[in-house]
Amino acid sequence: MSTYRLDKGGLIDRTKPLRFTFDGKPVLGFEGDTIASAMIANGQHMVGRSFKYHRPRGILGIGSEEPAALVQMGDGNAETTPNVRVTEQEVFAGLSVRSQNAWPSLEFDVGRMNDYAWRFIPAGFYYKTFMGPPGAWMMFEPIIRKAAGLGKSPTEADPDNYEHVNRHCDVLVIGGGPSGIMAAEAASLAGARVILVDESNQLGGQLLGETTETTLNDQEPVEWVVAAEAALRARENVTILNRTTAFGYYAENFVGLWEKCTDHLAPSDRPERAPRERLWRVRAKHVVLATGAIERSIAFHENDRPGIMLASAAQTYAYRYGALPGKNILVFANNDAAWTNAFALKEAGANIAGIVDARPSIDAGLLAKAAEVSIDLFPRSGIVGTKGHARVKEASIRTLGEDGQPTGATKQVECDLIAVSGGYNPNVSLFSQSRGKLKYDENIAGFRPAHSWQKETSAGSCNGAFDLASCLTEGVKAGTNAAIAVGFKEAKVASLTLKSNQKTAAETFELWDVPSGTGIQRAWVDLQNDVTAKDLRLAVQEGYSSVEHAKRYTTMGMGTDQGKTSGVTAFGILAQTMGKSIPEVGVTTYRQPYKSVSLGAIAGQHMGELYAPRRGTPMHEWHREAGAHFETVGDWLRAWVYPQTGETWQRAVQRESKAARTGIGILDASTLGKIDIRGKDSREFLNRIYTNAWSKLGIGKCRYGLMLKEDGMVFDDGVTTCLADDHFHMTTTSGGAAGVLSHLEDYLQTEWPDLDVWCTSVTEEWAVSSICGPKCHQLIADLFGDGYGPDDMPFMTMKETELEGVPVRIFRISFTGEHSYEINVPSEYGRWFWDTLMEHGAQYDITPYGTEAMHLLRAEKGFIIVGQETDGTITPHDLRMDWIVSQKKGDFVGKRSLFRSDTVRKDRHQLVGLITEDRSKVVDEGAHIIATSTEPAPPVPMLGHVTSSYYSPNIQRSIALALVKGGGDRMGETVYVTQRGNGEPIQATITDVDFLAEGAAS
Amino acid sequence: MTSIKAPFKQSPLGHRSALTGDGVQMSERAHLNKTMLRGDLETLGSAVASVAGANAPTASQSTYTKTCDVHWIGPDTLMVLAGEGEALADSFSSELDGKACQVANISNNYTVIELSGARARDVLQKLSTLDLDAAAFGKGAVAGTVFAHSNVVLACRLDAPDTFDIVIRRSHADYLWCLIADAGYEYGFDKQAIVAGETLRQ
Repeated sequence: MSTYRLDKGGLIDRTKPLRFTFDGKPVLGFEGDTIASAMIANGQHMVGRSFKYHRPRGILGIGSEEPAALVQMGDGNAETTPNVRVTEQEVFAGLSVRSQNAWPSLEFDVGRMNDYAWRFIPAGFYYKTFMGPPGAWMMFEPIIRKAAGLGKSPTEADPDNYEHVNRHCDVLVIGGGPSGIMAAEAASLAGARVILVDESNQLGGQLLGETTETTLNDQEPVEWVVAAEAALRARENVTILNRTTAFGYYAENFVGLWEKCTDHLAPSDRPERAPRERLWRVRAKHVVLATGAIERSIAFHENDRPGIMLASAAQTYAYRYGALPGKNILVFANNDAAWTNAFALKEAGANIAGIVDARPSIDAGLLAKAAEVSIDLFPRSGIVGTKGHARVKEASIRTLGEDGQPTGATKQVECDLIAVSGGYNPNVSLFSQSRGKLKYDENIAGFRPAHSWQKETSAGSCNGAFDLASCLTEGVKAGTNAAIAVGFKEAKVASLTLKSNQKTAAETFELWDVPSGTGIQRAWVDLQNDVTAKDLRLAVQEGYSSVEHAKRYTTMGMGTDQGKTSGVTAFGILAQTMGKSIPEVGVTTYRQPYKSVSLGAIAGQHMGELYAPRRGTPMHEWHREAGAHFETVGDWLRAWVYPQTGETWQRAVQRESKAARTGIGILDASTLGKIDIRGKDSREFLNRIYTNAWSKLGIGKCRYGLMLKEDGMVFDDGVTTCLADDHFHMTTTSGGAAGVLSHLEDYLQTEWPDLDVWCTSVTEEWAVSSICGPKCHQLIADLFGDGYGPDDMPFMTMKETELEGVPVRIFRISFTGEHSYEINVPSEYGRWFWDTLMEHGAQYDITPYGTEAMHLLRAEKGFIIVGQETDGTITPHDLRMDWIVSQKKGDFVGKRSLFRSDTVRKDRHQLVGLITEDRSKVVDEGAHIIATSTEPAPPVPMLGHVTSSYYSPNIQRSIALALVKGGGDRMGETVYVTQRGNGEPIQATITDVDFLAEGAAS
Repeated sequence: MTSIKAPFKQSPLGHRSALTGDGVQMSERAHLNKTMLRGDLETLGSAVASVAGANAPTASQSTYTKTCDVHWIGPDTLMVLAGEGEALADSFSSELDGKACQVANISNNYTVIELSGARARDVLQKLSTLDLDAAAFGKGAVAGTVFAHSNVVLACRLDAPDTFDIVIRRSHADYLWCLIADAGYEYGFDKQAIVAGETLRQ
């Protein structure tokens, strides 16, 4: 039975009951309830157990500030969500939540043994374990992992949809309380594009928990909010996002918003096509922060029992949710606001067991009002202990002396709720994230915004202005100024008549913790991570005097709540312990995110199949149909090998490689980067970009070039063809295409703007079929007629022609050393042309070969692959390609570096061939090369390493390329190649790289 | 000479069918003729005037004529889109012959996805960080930008409200098509399974 549910009032719909379960037991809530308000209405405050000592934890707050009332939501292995704050999650029919960190049950938890051992798990326990002798963490970790922890991560893939949305606006208003509503009103009236975000399910903020004594324009607070929201929603230039948290304030007014779209609905009510969560990436011209204030507790002995709650939260449960948090409430405060809460709770039907106020003097009006409604008072007193297990049942109260120490007799007061108020902290988290500077305000005993770095304004309680009138006027002012700042004219905002008796914490007595008066004080500051006032003092004693160090040492504020309710209290205790002022001690850095954001929202739609492009060539479908296996090259998928039925890929590579030198092999080379280069200075440009000379390359002629970076190291290679005196077609490696184009543009735009040269990527303009082998010229002749044979068309030339009206460029170039043509057709005809080659090549037994065979074939010829034979530390000379570095032409990129003392060293790693003594033994790529037949004791002197290694079907032996120290001068020397594991090093002889050359492989 | 089968063309999204949602449609403008012009904008502008009979666009704008769309890509670059039969690269080449500039035929290098409808901006906003509010990116606007991992040219057409051309590299087209379909799922697009399932090298 809902024994704590009020008969009327609040924003719940009593005609819409919603049943959910907590630890499998049914709980009745109503539409509009959070888990917290429904549990409170059912008389239950205990929700879970704490992280370290497994102490019972209840509900402290009302929203995202809640430190410890966390549950596991949902039972499925995929959908389950850990660490859900009961104060935020709305109930729906069928919702299932479970307490966390308790086993076997919430009431009887084995882990509470930690609590009896608390003296042996002091502050810094984890820190010392981490930093302790080697192995300590390894020993403790399994035990700690079992004992301490929060909820459980899902074990299966998340089935829900998440997405990113980008938005720009003139004014982003964060927080939909009175300040935020007025800021949005003023800015939108002026014509600004406004986004207003609020964490809760409805706008209103503190107004939703106000008593009806407060009126705005003679309307009750909620009526006014509803009307104000309707007016805003009616404007086209306003977007309102509910259940949305601004979690990160980044540079240039870039703010991340996290919208929870469907978690408040029963699964059957969730719109089928709506995402579960959205991550909004907003760029705002101006930001108004109206993030309110967060009440803080007071640390006193045994202050962590369920049923000990913040005073403003207690009022809000009664007025916003119609759930009385207690029937016999003791209030403990150091400011006037809590008295307003006490009177409101009394009005709502609770008995007020007393008001304990630590202050030396109290406003006469409040004392009179308390007397009028017969509330017992405990002035200049503090709570020094409590009793109760699943819920507090009694408090011990003592007078506090001048020195703050308890004096006199202890009074025991029965109660079922302690409503605590230690003052309010302006919620400056986002302001600090924006780089704003804080200042300490003694009046409110808290930090408020001082200096802004970004285009942002704080308004209302987050600015330290706690009273409703100031919140409203600061909101109007901030909204108006924001609109003006981004170029709009001020619009008149209708004036507001406010009536309110609300008292605020504008004058707060600095009180961080209350001594217990006995030897033992277990006064909790951080309820999630179990950090007590004593732990903080211990940190100072042990030398952690910086707040950042003390935080890490004690884990204070490092939980999922990031110390929203506890931070300033901790700084206060640290300052007191050090005998310093709070500003001297300072605050820890506020970092993004404001609260934990799901990984789903951060990944958005960019996951699974949509994680990255899968680039395919125009002939991709043909390769699929042919049963090719593919390899990834950057984002490209390239046909790697075409195994036939029952054939291993290794055998397929051998077959394909053999065919390419005996019949016709065909390769899809479309992924090669291609750049169209045009302009009268193109030759000069190529001279400067490549190491060799381009001044005399005739029209229709092709030339291979190496490109270096300024450090003299090989960066890319490829063949460039002269199409006209001022027009060249450059090819690059498949993976290097984008980088080469950037490199060229970089030099043209920043170094040589005087050159008349332009570059455009045409990589995908052309589909490239490369045919290779002794019979390939016959196939060309069949299709194109005479003029392309070995005698008619010299090596390294290009001819333009047509086939059935389709433009074709035939290049006689070769990456295999074999007679070969690379034939380019417009990509849209790529598949047609490939089909044509396959059809007409059938009589020559044309064999498709993949990239693996291509690598093997070029290795047989000793051709390099940039990125395989080079690794960014290899010069053309290291490749023993001195012939490609022109000595006659002028400067080129990287030239100067080729003359550094280090690059001219004789003992640099140089590219050589390796042939093994045993022709069948294929060495490992990457294997180290040593000089001895057995591996000596470490350190082993290394000669170099293997860069490419294959079994060549054409010369029928193992071949390898390697980078070996001074390799050019070691021809014929015997070396040994180490094997993985403990295999004997393999004997090999250093040779030249062209294994096809006469006598090379003998 | 042997007989050769008649040539056929394949557009990058030829395997996809147009999608229709609630307030948003997507289709491929296949086989468009595309030309990249690079050089001094005055020089290029005079060629645009004689080939297309229109002024070259100003920064971040496109010019739409009866025969072609001219997109401003950068301070020295224009992209011209025309119908399949229009051999514009040749026209520009002869017009600009001997002048300091580049004319590159890029018809096959890209394709164009057309997205239109009252919801088109909402769909695009899930992929683009640009401000796509009608006031900021109205008719005639063009921008080079990045959608997830793909470079695109995004243009807001003049001939119909909320109609966008997205110029995308050939091999990125299927990826982008599926991303946009996913973004439009909320508005009724069917999700599109990306071309996948290849056997990958172990």
